[in-house]
Amino acid sequence: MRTKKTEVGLTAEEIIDRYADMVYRLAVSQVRNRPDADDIFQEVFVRLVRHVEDLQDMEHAKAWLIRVTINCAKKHFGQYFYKNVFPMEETEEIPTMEEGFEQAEKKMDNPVMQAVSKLPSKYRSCVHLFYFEELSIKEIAQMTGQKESTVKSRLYRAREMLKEMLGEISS
Amino acid sequence: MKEQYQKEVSQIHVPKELLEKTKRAMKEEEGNLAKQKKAGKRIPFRTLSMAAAAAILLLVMIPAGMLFFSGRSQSERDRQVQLQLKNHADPEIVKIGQGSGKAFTVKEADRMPEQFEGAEEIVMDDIAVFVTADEETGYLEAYYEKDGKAYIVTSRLTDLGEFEEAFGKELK
Repeated sequence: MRTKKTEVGLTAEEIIDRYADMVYRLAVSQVRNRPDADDIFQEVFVRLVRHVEDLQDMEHAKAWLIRVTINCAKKHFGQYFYKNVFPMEETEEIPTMEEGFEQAEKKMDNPVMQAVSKLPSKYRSCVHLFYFEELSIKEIAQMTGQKESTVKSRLYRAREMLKEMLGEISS
Repeated sequence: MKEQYQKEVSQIHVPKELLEKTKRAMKEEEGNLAKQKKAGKRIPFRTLSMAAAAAILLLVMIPAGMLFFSGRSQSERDRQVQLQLKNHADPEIVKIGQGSGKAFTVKEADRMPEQFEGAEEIVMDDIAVFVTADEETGYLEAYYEKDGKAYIVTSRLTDLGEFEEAFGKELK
């Protein structure tokens, strides 16, 4: 069986070895719990196999992975509501979505992590890509398909919300 | 804040189990893709369903269209024929006979036309019928009066005996 490669001869295995942590961290930051992040991680790399020949080099692969991870997370949120629809008799035994997030937040000891996890999803991805991946506003805009001004305003609002939340935590 | 966030996030790593499981899934996917490629290009379900819908639509629309247009053209033809008949209908034509497949026409007339003056007179059922032949075609024509009305008969017959026989039946 011939292994599929990018235009510069990179295999999907080489790409996963390099960007596994990046994708996993982005997925965790988006869905805020490990089991869902595991699902997204696996889906992203299975998709990579189908599209590896369309990618040019490592940088292109990185941009593709970030875009697909964010899209998979969005899709996952769409599915999440369906997953949590249960008959009335069972609702007492199963935690609600908010309770699930609270449980996940309790595991995060760091106040910054707690505050970031409370941000809306669209702000979280911007914050993660800007502060952790250290991408420029232009790069984030290209990868997420947003305008640069949108990314800037999201970062600004996210910072304002974080300041407020961290102020509350410290006080 | 940035440093704290980076420090916390950098502690997150992919579990080895998940990495291995994903790599296995990738290999499996690669195998599936190779099999699909070997078996020929697979047509996406969406394309197939659209093609099927188009085919069904064509199957329904073509016969329906043919029926509609043939019915329309048939009725159009009928209408045109009726119109032609109406336009060409001579109010004087009172009867169109097709005795022995040889048509003759009976028209009302005001008076006896000139060509019948001096024509051969035949008596049929007590009616005097003046018979003459058209100079150009040789077809037999007749003139008679019945119940106070005058009639001109044109025919496609050239034989007087045949004419008498066919026209005699018509008079009865």
